[in-house]
Amino acid sequence: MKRIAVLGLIISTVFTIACSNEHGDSPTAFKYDPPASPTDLTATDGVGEIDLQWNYPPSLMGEISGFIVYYHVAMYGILEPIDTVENVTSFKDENLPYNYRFCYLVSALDTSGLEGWRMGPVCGNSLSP
Amino acid sequence: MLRKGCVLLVLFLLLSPSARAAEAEDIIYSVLFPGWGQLRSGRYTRGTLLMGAEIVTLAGLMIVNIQYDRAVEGYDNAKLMYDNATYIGDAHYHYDMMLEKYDSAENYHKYRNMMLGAAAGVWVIGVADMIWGKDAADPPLTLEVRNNGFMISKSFSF
Repeated sequence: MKRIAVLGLIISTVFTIACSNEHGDSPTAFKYDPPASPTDLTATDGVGEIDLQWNYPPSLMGEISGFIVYYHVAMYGILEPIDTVENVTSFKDENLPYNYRFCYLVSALDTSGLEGWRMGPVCGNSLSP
Repeated sequence: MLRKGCVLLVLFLLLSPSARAAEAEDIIYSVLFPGWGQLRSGRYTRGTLLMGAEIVTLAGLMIVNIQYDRAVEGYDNAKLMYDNATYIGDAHYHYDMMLEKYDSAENYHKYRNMMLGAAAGVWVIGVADMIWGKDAADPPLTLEVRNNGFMISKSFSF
């Protein structure tokens, strides 16, 4: 009888411990307020290079610490940051193989390091001489 | 006279300390696991049903609890990813994932409570049945002499 009582106690303890975990409070509202994406992104073809130009997001000049430029190949899902630029709104991708098409995205970084939505893609061709 | 004697004998057995002790022991077994006391006291169908129902609800409880744990783990992971996100797209993705996992955890929490309630309900029914649910003590096998013959009857209790 004692053994049975102990068994009952063990079973009830196991179930009590197993069912004692609780999830936390409901999630809070979305907390991020990232910078808007850059505007007027363009790509200009060059000989073995592509020039990118864009503008600051409207009314956010003081809050932007830089821009991240991505190399993008949609077909293979490649999205690779190639550079982070500060205080400029242009980027020159140089030493590219000739007669190839390259696509880019650009996003703004705020002073806390949070990256906003990416603008693009825009594509350009590296021309042969 | 014989009938009176039989009734007195049955009453004596029912009220005797040993009978009450056996009954109390069956109730304790039923408290430990629903249906166990019924099986011990010979009510096999009822005991099997109660025990089966308790096993099913406890198994369901364990399965739902595992699903709940997974949802909570998924929620914690999504929350961590969301808190550490540096890109707004990732933050939105993990935030949506976090909300989805939270809803999932809420649902499984509800199901777990339902299963717990069902298991507790079966347990209460089992114990209550042992205490108050005694059937009339039909003899399992009776022989009745009639004018044109006799009748043998077998009774089942469940």
